[in-house]
Amino acid sequence: MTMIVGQRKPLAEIKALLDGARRLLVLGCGTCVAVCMAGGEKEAGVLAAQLRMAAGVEGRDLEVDHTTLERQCDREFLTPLERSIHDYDAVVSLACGAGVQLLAETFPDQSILPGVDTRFIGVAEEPGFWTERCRACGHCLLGRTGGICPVTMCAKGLLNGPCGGMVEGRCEIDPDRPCAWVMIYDRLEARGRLDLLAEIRAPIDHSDVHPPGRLVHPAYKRRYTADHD
Amino acid sequence: MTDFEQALSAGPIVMVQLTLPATGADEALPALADRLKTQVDAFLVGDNPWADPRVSPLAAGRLLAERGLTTVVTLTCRDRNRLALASDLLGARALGLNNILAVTGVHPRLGPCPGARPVYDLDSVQLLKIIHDMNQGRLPDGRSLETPTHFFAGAAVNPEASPPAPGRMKFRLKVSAGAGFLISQAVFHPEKFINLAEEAGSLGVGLLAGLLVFGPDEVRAVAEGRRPGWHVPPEWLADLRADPDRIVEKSVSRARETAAALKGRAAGFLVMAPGLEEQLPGLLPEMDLG
Repeated sequence: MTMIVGQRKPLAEIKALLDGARRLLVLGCGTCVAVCMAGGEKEAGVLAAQLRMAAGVEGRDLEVDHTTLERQCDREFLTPLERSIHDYDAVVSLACGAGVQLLAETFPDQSILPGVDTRFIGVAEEPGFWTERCRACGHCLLGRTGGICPVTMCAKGLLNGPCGGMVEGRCEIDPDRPCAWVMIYDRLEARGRLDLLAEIRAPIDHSDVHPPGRLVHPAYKRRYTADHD
Repeated sequence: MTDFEQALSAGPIVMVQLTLPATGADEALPALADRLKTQVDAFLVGDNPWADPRVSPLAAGRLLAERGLTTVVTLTCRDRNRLALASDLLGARALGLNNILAVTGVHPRLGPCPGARPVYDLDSVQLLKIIHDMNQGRLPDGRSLETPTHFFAGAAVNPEASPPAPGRMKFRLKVSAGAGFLISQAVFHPEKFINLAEEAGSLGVGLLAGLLVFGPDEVRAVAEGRRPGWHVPPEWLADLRADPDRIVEKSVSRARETAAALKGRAAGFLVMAPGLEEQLPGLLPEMDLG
């Protein structure tokens, strides 16, 4: 499953964000961060228990509830929180950065704190191990690079072949990582398509992909609007 | 034709890389260049080699060029986007620095500032292409230059790379992007260099051979994996580490043997002696590069 991969922040870092809150909601997100075991229902329960225990040990008064939404990146799923969110001094969201921001935008008078560091768009390699596969650059090159992304898989994002630091097919900054350009070359060679590497690839045009990104799907927007008229 | 292009066309040259530590005195660079100038045809100024901040290559290059020394300036893609690279190229021209070695640049993670954001907006092939376009009178954005530049641009290649084929593919792209000369990373296996030099020759481009003289600090850096472009054979490394007092002497002797095997095959030699630059006036004669 491709997804946003996140990593639970260390407990001490989350505690330092609480700023004297006495009633706290830990809010899990049931989609990507649940799959990568950083911020789903189970992790929300674990964090709530950790925070309660830490407060108990330190003799502080802290009430912690936890619940998990299907998705924090869609307003539709946030609406039910209207009834209860103001019962709390702060909310620790275990969603990715997008979910945390939409939550804060939906409830701008509430203190919304991140409990997860968002790491990358990636895939599950094996249980407990995820790797990045896409930088969301907006100009997908995979059709000409054998299905291997040089923007993501090369530590330097080089578009025209390996750098001089490649060592025995491994990346110069980490011998545990294969060199993206050796992988691309090998795959295209096996397919008899080295011709795809014969031309100089131009630099990426960043003029239309600067953040924050926006995307409109005209047909979907039309249909959705028509259904709701 | 630039001074470096003329020197290369006149026959095998001896070049040294002079990139002094950031912590040293400003006057050390021109003083050392003066001591070396009778033994050397050209100087190469690095651009924050190993992602270690040093005097800017344009400033260092100007200090050498204004003494009448043939100077090649390295520009890496690591620390500047395409806008800053174009700006530095125009700056290089304004300072009379027309010989450029265009390289990718070692990742910041291997240097003393591992938290720096790497740029790599362009790669070395794309940088060569920009230089070529400026020589044709076009800026990267397509606007015309009133006066085209006259850069002589070159690229780095690594004959020791394994597997060799992906780098070979890039080497051809570098030549087609306008590389007029090539400098190899440190050579350890002459036969690998000769193989690459033959292909470079068939494309009409001279290939200089990189020769490395080690000090103890560099031996340690190689052993710790901080010098990924130097494919030092394990037996060389073991030999150098076994006898710390003779590291320089032994590596000079290795470099002399390598150079002897490459005479007549290389367009010249680039001597890299990081941390030992002050000793170069004494070491160069021992390497017998002429």
